[in-house]
Amino acid sequence: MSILLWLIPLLPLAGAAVNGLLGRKFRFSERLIGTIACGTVALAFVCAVAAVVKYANSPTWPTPYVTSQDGWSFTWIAGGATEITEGQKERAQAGNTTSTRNSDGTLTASSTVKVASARGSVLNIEWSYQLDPLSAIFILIVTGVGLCIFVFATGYMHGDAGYYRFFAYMGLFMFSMLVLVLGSNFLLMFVGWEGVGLCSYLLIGYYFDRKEAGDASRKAFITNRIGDFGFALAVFAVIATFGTAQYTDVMRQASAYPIEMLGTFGIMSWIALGLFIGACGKSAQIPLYVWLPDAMAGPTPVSALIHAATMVTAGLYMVTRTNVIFQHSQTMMLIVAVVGALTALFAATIGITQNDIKKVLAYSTVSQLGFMFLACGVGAFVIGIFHVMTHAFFKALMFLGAGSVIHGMHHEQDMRRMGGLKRYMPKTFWTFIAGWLAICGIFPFSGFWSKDEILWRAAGTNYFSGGWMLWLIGTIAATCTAFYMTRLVAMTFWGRERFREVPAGGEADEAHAHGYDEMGLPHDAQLESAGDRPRHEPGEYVGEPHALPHDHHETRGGDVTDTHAAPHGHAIHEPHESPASMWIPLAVLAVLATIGGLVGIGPAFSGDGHPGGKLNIVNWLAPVVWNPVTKGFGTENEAGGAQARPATTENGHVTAPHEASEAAPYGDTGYNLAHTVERSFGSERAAEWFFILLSIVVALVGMGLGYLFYVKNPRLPDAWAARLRPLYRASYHKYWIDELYGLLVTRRTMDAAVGVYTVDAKVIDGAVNGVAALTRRTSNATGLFDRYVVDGIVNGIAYFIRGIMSRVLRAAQTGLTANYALVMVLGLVVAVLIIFYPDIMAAVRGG
Amino acid sequence: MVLSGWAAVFFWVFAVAALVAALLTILARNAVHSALFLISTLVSVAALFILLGAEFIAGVQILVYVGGVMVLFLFVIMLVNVSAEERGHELLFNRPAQVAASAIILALLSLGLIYAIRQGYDGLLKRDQDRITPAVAAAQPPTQPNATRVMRISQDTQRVGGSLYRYGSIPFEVASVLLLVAIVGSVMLARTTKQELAADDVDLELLPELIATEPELAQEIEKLAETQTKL
Amino acid sequence: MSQLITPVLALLLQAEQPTTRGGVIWQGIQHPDLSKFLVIAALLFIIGVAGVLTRRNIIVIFMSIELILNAANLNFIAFSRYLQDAGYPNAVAGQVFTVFIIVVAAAEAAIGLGIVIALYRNRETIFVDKIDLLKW
Repeated sequence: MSILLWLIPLLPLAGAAVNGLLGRKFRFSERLIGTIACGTVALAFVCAVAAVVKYANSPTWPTPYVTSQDGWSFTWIAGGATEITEGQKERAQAGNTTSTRNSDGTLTASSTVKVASARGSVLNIEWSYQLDPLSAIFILIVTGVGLCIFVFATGYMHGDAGYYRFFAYMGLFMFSMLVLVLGSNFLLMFVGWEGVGLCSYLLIGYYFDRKEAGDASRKAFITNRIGDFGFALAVFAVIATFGTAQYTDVMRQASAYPIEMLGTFGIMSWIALGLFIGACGKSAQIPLYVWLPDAMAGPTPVSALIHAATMVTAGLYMVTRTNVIFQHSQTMMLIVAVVGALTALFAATIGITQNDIKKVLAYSTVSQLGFMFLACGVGAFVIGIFHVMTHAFFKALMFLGAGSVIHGMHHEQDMRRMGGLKRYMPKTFWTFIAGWLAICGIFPFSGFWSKDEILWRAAGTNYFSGGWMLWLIGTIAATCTAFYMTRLVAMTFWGRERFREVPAGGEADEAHAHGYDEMGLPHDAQLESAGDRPRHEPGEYVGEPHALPHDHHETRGGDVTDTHAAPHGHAIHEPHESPASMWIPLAVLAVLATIGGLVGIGPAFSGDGHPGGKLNIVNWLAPVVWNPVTKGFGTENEAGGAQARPATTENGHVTAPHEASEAAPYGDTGYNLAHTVERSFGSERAAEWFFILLSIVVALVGMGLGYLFYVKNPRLPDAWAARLRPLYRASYHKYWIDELYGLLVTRRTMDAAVGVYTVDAKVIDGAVNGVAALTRRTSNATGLFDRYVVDGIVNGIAYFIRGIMSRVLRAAQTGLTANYALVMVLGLVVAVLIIFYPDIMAAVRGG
Repeated sequence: MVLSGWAAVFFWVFAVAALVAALLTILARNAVHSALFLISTLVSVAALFILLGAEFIAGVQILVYVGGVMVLFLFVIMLVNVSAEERGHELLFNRPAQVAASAIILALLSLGLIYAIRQGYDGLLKRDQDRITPAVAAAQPPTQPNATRVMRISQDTQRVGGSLYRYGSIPFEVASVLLLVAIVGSVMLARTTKQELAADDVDLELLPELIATEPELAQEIEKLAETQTKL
Repeated sequence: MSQLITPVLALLLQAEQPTTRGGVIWQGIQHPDLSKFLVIAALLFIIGVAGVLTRRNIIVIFMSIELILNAANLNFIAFSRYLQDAGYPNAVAGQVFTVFIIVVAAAEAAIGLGIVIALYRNRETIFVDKIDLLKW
């Protein structure tokens, strides 16, 4: 199994290395590059499946498997003795009791948890991989969804000059992401974390000849730096507190620490805060979400893989991985939940008014990530991960669908120039519909299962009071989601075929017009609307020519000005269906988006607990989550849950709200919506059905509104936009957050830079120049000294030698080798004399 | 390390032979005689090597020096004209002043060296006293011919070869490169002007000067030019 | 013949405890040790140096250099043997060095004689006191 775990990240890395290092030099064909990239990822997927199947069937199942158990690891950083400096007070309070699992599967509080001694420990960071239920889910998502996207990209990137570069970056990303989720300690996670950040930067800026792509990549990188700073601090704090970075050790120790209630902010809260700042950066939460919409400047497969399915969920992975630490801080749980809920609503409202198809999906991604954080914040970590999985399916599907549309529309991504595409791209349409129904939360598509359970858990959280407000915010956000997704589908696939109309001006047109005014010259970066456009060299064969009356500027370079004779070059294109390499991944993802949610089927449908045993993701992940009631991992077994599986395994279903409230580790949390509903309906199942029906109704309302606005009565949107003009403008301009950040952060940074420059120019340069002047003065004085005194001595000696010594020395130079050799031997004699002088004198005296 | 019996006899025989032959080497008027006396010296020293138990080195000395280097010397003597010296037309030694100074200095040096050897050897013996005595007692007359003598030779040779390749492998390789360089270098040095011309390796600025000293070179050049135009 | 010489030599070579100064010297002659080898090597060296310093013929000078090198070789071998007898059975570094010295001597002879030929061709002489190019 160890070798499988090692192979999983190394295979994509090997593919990336081959493509990246040799692809350009040896002019690999697109087919070869695609085969290498997809082949290595497919092999990694096979390895991942094999490893997970083997792990699931092993008798030690929920215990994390670390490759160092079998010697498959090496000491990466030999840190040596580490003193534990932080969290002394909490360690003193750390309870020395914890739960153990009895033979019948119940938890008892008995054994002693070993907290690292205050004197410190030996810190050796090892490079090893850990397979546990959480990383199992993630490697399957990353390699599986990644494989679909790789295959899609072979078609989408066809004809691009940097084909090899694209797949090298993508392979490198797969490697980093797999190291992130497989690493067995915080520092390995950090390696992966920075690695995916780098690959994200490289891939957002993939079309580096376009200014917006370069700006977006820098924005993403810098914004992520803020989060990474918090993350790094948290990792340091973990090492300083626990004396180790290995997950298993940290979690074991952390579970013994006291829970910090609202109002106290101890070491666990600080660690959690740092981790959460990191998660905010990577997973695009308020206030660090601004980079993700701009990241859409990268190619669409990148958006699908990195900025929807995998990388942005790294924050979720990290929060769930460290759920012990988060659950020890009531404050941080509240902050996570509130940030998640607000992000969900905030991004959803922005998504309503955006016109760029990828921007809508980007804000949708931010919003869905908010839902996931909401789930984590209310203690439903498992459901958060479940939503990560379903979201990976349907959002990757929608991004790839959008990519297919953009491809079919010849790199047009403004939805106002689409419409009626259903007729031209049926395969894309039907797969997109699956994603649409999934994200709206329609039964039984995958998004329904996870989103519904998130809202239910939010309503019934017992981690803090006021869960009903989070539920309300989430429900409104879900309505908005359904609305803007319906709008997207309607504008893209239904309605008038607007691409036949002469563009009447709009955001994108303004963008180029502005670019024209500014630059005065046609420039690559400003040629077209925000679109990710594979670059074709002049005269390059780019596949079957499209049956078009006139040349469009897919081939560009030679006749730039000609293409601009037409109004901004937006010629009328006949949309076309995408090739098989693009729609087959779409179909696979559509199937997953449709039925993928069934792995997390809720208790309402089975009567008792999450059915399916280990095959149910909720039961599968339960051992990862710490239980604040029992102070152990996993949940208490219930009678129903234990029937299907052996008594020795630790699965059971996650603590339902009412169960946790009995012990109330977080004190009295006041009014609880779920409990109220439960009381009024009489049973927990009925309450769950109530929330299920409510969420479906809410989704239908959103979809109905969307239908009404964008299909039934297309004049309504403009009318309502005029009526709610301030709100519309705010949403359209993304609440001016970018401008606000520009004013508050970027401007101030610039001012600080100017100030520093002034200090540098005036003070430091002044000092340097002063020193220089002083040096010049002194050097004049020493120069005089040198000229008269030193040179005088030298010249005097020279005169002396020339006048007196030259005669003698000239006579010594006979030019005959034998004479020189004689002098050498003379030297030897002298040397012997010098060395043995004392002995000789002693011998002479002694006789 | 003390020789005795016949070994001592042979030591004196070969030591004296080596010294006398060495003296004759530097005193002989005819260079060929010098070379032959040098060969005698080298053979005598090789015999001393055998007395010292370094049979392999003795073999190398005979093969390389006597068989290789001295043959080279003899060839060179025949290539250059030494007849003037042979017939007594030329002086054998340098200027008298040089010879006299050399004699004085070398006398001093030899006195100093012999003194140093005596003193140093006494010190050495004192240092190694407690090591040598048991070692000598254990090693019964080492030069006594017996059944294991052959074995000892091969063991010694094996030891030398072992340390040559184990501890001296890099110097060994470097030495082989040195030999290669020496071969190439001597070939380059020993070329005649004609050969250099044929290899097109003559400085054009020096060519007129060369032709002035060797008039037949001009014809050679013309001949070469003809063959080249034909080609 | 051998029947005649052997008893004489046996008489000469018989071991006896030296008492007089002459006896000590006789014993030294009877049992030559390391110092004798060193003295022989030193004398060879002196002869070689003398040849280098006094002879005019460059070929003989080269031969003298070979003598000097051989003196060094003899020293190396003698010390190697001494160390072996002093209880270091693997002290063969002296012999290894000798191999290298022989190699260097061979290379030096090849190059030196090449130079001699080139010199003779250019200057028609092999006498070192005719060549004073070092004085310019």
